[in-house]
Amino acid sequence: MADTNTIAVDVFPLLCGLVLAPFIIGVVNRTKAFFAGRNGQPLLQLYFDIFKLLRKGAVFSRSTTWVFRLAPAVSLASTVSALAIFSLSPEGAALSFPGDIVLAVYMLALARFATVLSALDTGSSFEGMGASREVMLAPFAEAAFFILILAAAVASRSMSAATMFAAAIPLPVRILMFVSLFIVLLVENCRVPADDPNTHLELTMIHEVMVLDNSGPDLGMIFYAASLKLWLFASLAVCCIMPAGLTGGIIGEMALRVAGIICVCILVGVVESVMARFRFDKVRRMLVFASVLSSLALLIAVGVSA
Amino acid sequence: MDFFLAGVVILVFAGLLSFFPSVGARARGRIAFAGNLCALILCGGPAVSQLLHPAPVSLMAATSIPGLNFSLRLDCLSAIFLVCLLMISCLSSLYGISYFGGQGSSSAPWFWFNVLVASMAMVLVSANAFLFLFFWEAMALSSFFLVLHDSGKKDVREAAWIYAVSSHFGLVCIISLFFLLSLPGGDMEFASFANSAHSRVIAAAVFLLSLAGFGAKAGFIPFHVWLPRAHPAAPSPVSALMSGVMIKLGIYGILRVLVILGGFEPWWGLVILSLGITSGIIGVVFAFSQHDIKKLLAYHSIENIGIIMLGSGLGVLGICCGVPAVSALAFAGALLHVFNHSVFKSLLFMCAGAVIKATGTHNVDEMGGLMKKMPVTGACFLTGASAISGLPVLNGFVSEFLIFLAALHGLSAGGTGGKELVYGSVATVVALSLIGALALGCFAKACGIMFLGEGRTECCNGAKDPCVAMLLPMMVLSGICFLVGIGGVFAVRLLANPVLELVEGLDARQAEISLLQASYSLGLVGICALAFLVLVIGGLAARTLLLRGRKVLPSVTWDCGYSESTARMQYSGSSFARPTLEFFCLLLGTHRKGPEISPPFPATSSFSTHTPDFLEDSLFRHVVNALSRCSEFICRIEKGSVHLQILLVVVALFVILAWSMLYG
Repeated sequence: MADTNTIAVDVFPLLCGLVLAPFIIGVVNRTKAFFAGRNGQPLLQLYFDIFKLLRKGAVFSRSTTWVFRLAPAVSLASTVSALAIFSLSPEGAALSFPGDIVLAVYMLALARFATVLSALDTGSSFEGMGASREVMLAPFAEAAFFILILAAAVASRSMSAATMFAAAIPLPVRILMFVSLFIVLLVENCRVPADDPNTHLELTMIHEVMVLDNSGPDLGMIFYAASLKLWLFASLAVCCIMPAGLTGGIIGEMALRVAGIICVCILVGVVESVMARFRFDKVRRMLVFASVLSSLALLIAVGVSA
Repeated sequence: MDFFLAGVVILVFAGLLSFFPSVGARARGRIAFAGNLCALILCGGPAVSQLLHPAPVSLMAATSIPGLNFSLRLDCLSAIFLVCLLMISCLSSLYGISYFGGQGSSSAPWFWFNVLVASMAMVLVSANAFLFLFFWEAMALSSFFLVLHDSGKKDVREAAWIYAVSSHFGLVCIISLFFLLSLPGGDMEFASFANSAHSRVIAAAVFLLSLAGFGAKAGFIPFHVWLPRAHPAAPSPVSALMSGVMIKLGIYGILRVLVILGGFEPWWGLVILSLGITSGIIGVVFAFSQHDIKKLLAYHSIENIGIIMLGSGLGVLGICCGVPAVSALAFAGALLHVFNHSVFKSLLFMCAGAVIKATGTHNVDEMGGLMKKMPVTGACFLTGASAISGLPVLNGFVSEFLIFLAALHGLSAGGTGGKELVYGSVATVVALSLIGALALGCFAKACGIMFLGEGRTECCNGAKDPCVAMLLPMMVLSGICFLVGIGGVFAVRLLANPVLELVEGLDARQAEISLLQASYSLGLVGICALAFLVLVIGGLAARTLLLRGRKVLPSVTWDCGYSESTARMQYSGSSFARPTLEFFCLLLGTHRKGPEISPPFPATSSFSTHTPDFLEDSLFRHVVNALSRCSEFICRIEKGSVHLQILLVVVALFVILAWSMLYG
């Protein structure tokens, strides 16, 4: 019986993520609306959107092949796999083994590969442009992310995400990791100042322009995957600064975590409201800055653990 | 060993048959393939049994020539390379039957092909330095003639020439390293090399010479210059064999020398590691900037050799710092990457060959939309591209995962392992993640521009999939990519013995435990891969169910209201790569040729970019020029006037006299 219980505890954060992810997009949008002096869309708007899209038909470009049709499912499935590894419960995660972080990062890379290929499959030059930009930012975002995970691995002497963030990591390392992760979050989730998801000019977008040709259930899957990705990064950011085991049970722990995630989303909304989008080379510089912060965290972690 | 030798002899005979004028062009290919198939069965059997139950077999026959014994030894390390060799040679000869088709009549590619395979097999089992050098040279020459297949073209002749020069540069280094190794024992057997003690200086010199000598074959930076030239020049099955297997023999040489030398020093590991990082990153950045598909793949070979070197360097560091887990996992990753790279690189070269045959161009920017016309080739290329980018579910991920795991072990060993290990591990992880992301971009470009979208020029119009004999090897290799990607556990089990051979001197029990732990992780990776596939299929099924009975319209791609878009307006390979490459512009030095856009209505204009190899232009050109000036000078003296010659004789006599007076 205890076994079933542990499994339930380990799977609970993943289920929370799968259910609540579209909600936090609403939080970001409401924060932005508040700053603009509007009422804004309902908090549950993305659920309505996804539901609406799932009930629609679809339009496929004649230029596209099976790659375009496969891509949304691949990117959703790989985001879910990454989320299974990064949805941390106090004792473990839905999927946890030594080296699981590598699999999670590469699963996110697989999602990226699928999206980029589906963009190129349409033959549209706008989508090619978005794909090219995505590929330009990826190496830097991935390096910054990997280095900060490495810092956690060194500080906690562990090789699995579940034990990594639960361990006693020194506070300066945690703060540096949080800042760096927040920058990576902004870039990876196509938020201002890296990308503007709400603009109407295809020329200036990265992620939105890559999915211009998707419609119907496919677009629903893409929206859902994007919200899962935001949830993944936000919950990791929360894990960076919030020590585990503040409350006794998993329910309390998750409630705190969700509150933290909502705070991170409000922060994202604030950043989006007070900043303008950067020029693309400046985005790259921002990511290099994030890598420097991660490296600093790593240096401190190496110094402390040696 | 008897079976092994029989296999090699059959291989050479099958090649010799292609010289008989009465045998038709296609029949030659079939005979050569049959030879390779026999070799696969006869030589592959002993190799696989080595991997399962390690018991080195050797054969020794003394000859009357001093130092030369016909001594062969097949151990686990040779076996893993042999398996790659025989698998790829068999598949690429099957591919070659239709690829060469009737062209085989003019020259004898099949003879050289089989000689190349046979000499590589013999290199792997030679246990005598002279024997090794003989087969090494046979390998270099036969591959030289294969590169020279289209000798009518100037590029091809130039490429073959550069290849010959660089492989002989390597040969000089290898000869001198064997000379140094033979100093204490005076005999040319590998066994006695290993048994005699070498001083620190000699060992360091041997190590550096092995890097230069075998590096010239493996093609890591700075010895890579021949690779991006030879591969576009060589026929595709030959590129597949050369890039898939032959360059790995350089790695084999380095590992063999390390095994012979035994005692390592930490700086060796750091040297190998930094060479790996340099060639990994520079290789992938240059690959990204290429338009020629085969050149792009050649630069990726440099990158992957870099990853293998990363693993080996970390392994050496692990041995020096006494952390068996790091070294076992890193060597396992490196060896598995040797196998994996031989699978997906040959696959990619075969696909590229099929595309080049179908379109008649090497330039990716002229292709496009080939997925609709060549569906099987396209699917295979996509599989290979995902595998080489190290994406999960495919085999490239498994080997990179092992190297990552080794680095994580190195980090969690912390201070106990020594500073070098921590630095090495950090560098490995950062470099691997950077290389992975850049490779992903590069193959998104290759796949996307070649196979997706719409055809950019009319050369794509008539393209279609090649015949079954060419498709079959590609499909088999794609299947292996998936199998190893999901069943990584079993691959690690097979690798345990060669790895334990490499980490000799460390706590073998500890190494085995870490391999077992890794196979636990890999088992879960495999399960996760299967679950991922189920999720994908579930997603697709859900969409199909949802769309049933609803309107699904075919339409044009969303053109933002501009209805006159043409295929030429699509993003091209160079435009796709440009934002990423701008960051590396200092390294790349790309030449751009194009007009300034000035008038409001620009007239016809053209734009092109070209990225030359920086080392070839800035380093080797100068070195070669200096060398040729030197030799011209010597020529002048040698053929100069009688007075000069007499003066030289007098000077020489005087020097000898002075020498004998001082030391005599």
